[in-house]
Amino acid sequence: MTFDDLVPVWRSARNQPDPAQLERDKAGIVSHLGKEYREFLWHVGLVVALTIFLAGGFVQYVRSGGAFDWQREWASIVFLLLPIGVAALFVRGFIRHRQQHPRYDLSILDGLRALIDENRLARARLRVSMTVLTLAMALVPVVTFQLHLVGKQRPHEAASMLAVFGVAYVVAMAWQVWKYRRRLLPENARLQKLIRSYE
Amino acid sequence: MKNSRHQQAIFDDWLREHAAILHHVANGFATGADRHDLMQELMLALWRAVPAFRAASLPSTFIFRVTHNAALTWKRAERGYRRRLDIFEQEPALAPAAIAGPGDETPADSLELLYSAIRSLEPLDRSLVLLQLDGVSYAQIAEIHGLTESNVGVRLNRIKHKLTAIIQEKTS
Repeated sequence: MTFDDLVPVWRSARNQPDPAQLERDKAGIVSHLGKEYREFLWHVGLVVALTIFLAGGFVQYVRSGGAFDWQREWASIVFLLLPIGVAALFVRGFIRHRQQHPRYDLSILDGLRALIDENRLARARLRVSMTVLTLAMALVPVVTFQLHLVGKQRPHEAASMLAVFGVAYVVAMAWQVWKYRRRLLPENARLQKLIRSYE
Repeated sequence: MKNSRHQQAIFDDWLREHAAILHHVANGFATGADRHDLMQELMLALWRAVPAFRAASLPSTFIFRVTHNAALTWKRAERGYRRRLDIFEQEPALAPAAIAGPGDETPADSLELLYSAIRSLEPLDRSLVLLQLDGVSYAQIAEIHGLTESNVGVRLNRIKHKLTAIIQEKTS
């Protein structure tokens, strides 16, 4: 028996989808998209709530005539500027990626090249994020020390701050290392293997 | 809202007319519970691709590109228990003794034999042979994959020989 002998079977009625199963799959998609949309709303809501909370705190501080000594409290400013710098780097990387792959939808090969570049970009983002997190963590003791010196933080508040930031740092680093090693590197190897099969 | 309804209408039309493409790709790339996962993945990819569709190409060519792209880059979910269950359930069906000899197959056996042989190919070869079985021309396959027409011809010739060898091995 050869491949050509089996070709007529391909065109048989048995090789058609079951309409009832197709409807169930469609219902599954609707539910998946609904879940995705609710998750999106939850994330947006969280970001908006955090921004309002932080901005509210800042406004309240300024209204109450809060003083800021640039010479003795610079570490807080550096600490707050770090995520803005990271966001700017991420946006630049994304724009470059889009410029390098404007027509990723022309063919599957073009799409694969874009996916490989996207994976490289995702790994670069994680490396930047881990470096900046470590820098920020190193800065936390300086921030607490400066706040203590100007009388804006009591010792037990400094201890709480260090504990919370320490736990957050360990969790965030563990998650990012896991994502880098267990998700992105294997995905890159899989995509590279696939693109090599086109050569 | 209007856009969403338009997207839904196109998606429904495409599924009505081209569901067989998704069915063939899902069976050609996965079995068992994975097949169901892949089918959902293909539908999602198609739904998300609707806004990018320009009438410059035929809907069928666009659907072939989107679904084959999704299947090639699809990553099987890591579900150890389910995977072992699938393997266990498939074992008797895949054993050579369970496959009828030449001329004895019912269409269902022959179809499963063909799919099983296709699934044992490398992913790109799977995609190329599925496209050819669906009657896509060499020129269209070349456009979908970003290969040259002659390259597609050479590859498909090699794949057919490979498939014949696999089929003969499975039926012997």
